[in-house]
Amino acid sequence: MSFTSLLFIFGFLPLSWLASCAWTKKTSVQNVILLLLSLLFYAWGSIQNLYILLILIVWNYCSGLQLEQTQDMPRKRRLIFWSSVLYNVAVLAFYKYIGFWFGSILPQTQNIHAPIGLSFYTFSILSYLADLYLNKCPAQKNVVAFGLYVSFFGKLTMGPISQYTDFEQYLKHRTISKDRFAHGMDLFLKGLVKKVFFADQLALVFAAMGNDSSFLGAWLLSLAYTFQLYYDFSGYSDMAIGIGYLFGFEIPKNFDHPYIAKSVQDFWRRWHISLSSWFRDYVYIPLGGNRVSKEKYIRNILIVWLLTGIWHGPNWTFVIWGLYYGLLLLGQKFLFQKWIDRLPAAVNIILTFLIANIGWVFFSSPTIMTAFSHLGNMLGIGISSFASENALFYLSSYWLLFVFAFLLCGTLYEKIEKKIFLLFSKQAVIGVGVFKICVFVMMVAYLVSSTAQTFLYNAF
Amino acid sequence: MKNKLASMKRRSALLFSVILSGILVLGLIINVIWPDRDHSNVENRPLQTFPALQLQSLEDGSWTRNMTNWFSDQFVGRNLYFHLNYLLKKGTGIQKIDDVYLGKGALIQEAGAPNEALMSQKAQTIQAFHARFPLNTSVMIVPTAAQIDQDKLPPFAPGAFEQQTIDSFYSQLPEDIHALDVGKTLEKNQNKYQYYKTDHHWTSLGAYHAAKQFLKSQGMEIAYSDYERMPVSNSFRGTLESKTGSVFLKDTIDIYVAKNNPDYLVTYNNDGNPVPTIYDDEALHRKDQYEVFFGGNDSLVQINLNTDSTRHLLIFKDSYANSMIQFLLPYYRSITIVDPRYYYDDITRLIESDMITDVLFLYNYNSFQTDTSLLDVLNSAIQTANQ
Repeated sequence: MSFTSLLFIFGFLPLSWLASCAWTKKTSVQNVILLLLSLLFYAWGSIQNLYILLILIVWNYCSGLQLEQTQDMPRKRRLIFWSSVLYNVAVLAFYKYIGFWFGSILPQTQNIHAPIGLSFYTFSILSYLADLYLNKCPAQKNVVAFGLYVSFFGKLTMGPISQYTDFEQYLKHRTISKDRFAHGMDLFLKGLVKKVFFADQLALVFAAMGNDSSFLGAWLLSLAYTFQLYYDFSGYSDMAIGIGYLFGFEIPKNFDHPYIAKSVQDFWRRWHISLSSWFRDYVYIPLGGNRVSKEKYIRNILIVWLLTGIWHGPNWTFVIWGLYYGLLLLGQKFLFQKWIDRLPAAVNIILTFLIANIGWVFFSSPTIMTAFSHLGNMLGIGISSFASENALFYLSSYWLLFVFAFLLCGTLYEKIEKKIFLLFSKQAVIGVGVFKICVFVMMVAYLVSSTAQTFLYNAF
Repeated sequence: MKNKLASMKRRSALLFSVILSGILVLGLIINVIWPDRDHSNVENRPLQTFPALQLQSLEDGSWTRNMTNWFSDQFVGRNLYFHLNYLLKKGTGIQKIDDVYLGKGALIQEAGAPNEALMSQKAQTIQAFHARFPLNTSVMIVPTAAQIDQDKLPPFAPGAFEQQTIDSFYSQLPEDIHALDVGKTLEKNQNKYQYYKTDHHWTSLGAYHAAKQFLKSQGMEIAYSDYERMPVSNSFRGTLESKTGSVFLKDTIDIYVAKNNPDYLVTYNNDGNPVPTIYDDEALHRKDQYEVFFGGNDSLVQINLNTDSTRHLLIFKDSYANSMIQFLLPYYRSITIVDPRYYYDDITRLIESDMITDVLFLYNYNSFQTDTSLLDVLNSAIQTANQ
């Protein structure tokens, strides 16, 4: 079930809240209900996927108990830890990569599709195993609590990837205050707007520019994707975190205005924060982090970014994209930092944005060749014309959306809201609240019409 | 100062969250208790009703899919939201919803990309059919509003290519088939009301211009004054309105009755129950008022006319033909209308039994270059005849 389906917003979400939080304050009871609801949420898309999720929950719950029981047997413990990790990684690799690796030899493997969210909840599970192995936390004895950690419907399908030590406390005890609830609703709306108003519409531009080889078309294509991806993913994350708040979980933010980052390093502190923290805590630091020789440091960075690339999907474009960032980060550390310090902030922001934009060209292209030809078109190489009719039409239709997308990816909205509160105080309290309700109704209009199916050809 | 700001923000967020929770819960209750409708007039399609739970549908995932569709299809206020969506999109400068351009005073459906291979295949099949049944054959492919009313498209909308595609199709037909270039005729009358503003069909006036050209190629002259124009609706909101949720536009439907119209009987699908009119008044109370012509599309319609003519016309067609046939009535002894999308019977027998002398293929560009049912019907006729 998608967060942006009407059934979720007006059905599943309010019903879940009423079923779990409205009548009991007992966290343990809520956990049972929320686990069942989360499994229902997951089964909604496909029952087969539910089996995989259940198997992973039970397997890793048992591994956790075993890890705890073998505290005094380091060799056995290590064996259990690594075999569990391998098992999870093998499941992930089987579903996500096997069709890509063996598709040409074994065509039937091309029909294997990864269950939705597998990459995200596998990483949550690995975080649990690692935290446990490093003695950062005790094993979770309660299978319901463990199941909820893995499968809470707010974060199940698209993250944020939670780390077990952050999440553990909420499995034991949660409270829902009015303010937490209000904050959750706020974030949910914010995410809804990002997804429905921005991402879904920018996706239309992206789709329409796919085969456009004019200079303007190439830029529209890459900018549409750059903004679409941000609004889509950060919108979904906002909704997920908002849902977390509604049910008493405080999930840390996943995006922090990445397109106003002043360097590549800064960008990665703001983009998909839960993923980069995961790689930092479970790959980079265990490899020695930056407290090693220069050679090893370079190796560590490249490993982390190679894995980050591969995590995103089975395609060489993701590998290139990961290594691109690995090399840029090394470049920043050893070569460019002194220039970055001297340049004005605005220049750094623009440069970082362009770097991200070029990165997304690789990320979004089906093959490396199309990525390079798209980049060529953006530089005026191999273009069919300066501006195609198609590109001009979409620019004239969507320029306002691009302007808004550009303005609102920074902190402008927060600043305006603050100004309004300071200027109008009391009226603003009501005004801003009512404004948000109107925005919600507008988003519902977008959602309802996106379910339109007029069978036009039948009517001919 | 900071505290005061935080407190105001807090109160505003609380207010918002209370109202929104109320809306969500109320929305849920209303949506569940509101009775289901099984048809949407605005979208002109059946709506998903509450799906019955079965083991099979649960396993293959169709139950959850239908539940999701049920909720959005039966969403209370659905039609209003469509209009709000239109206004918001229009307000943010968007000039195209789905495949419909929001043009100047008209909604115009984008033309489908040309399918050259299918067009060539159709040219060959029509040629083969003509060779097997050497009747007086004409072909008329009508460009849509995207071609003829180009000047109403929003700025920078990609240029029209329908005429080019039709020309290239015509060039593949043998010379003894009349290929009627109706595009030029419609273009000459460009500033007239030839296409509905809210629907993908042409108006009766557009159809009149085409009928005049067709009859002329058959050696018959008609004039506008030969017909009496009767407005039957000024509240027509067609399929393009449904698709976009457009708010302000509506259309007029005229029917044209020849002053010398003969008596005639219309039989639908061989049902043995002839009626004396090609018009269906009841359609004017339905959403799709264009169905006033023949009540919509039927696989087979046979019109027997009390005329002195010796000509028997067979039309292979889509719904564009429905509003053109009214102009042809006085000039044939009988008109047999086949819609290949719904027709599975034997054409050869029909040609014999209805004593067909003339054949007309009448389609609009969009359906002609996507639909393949004509090929099936013609090929099976050729096969049967060869046996």
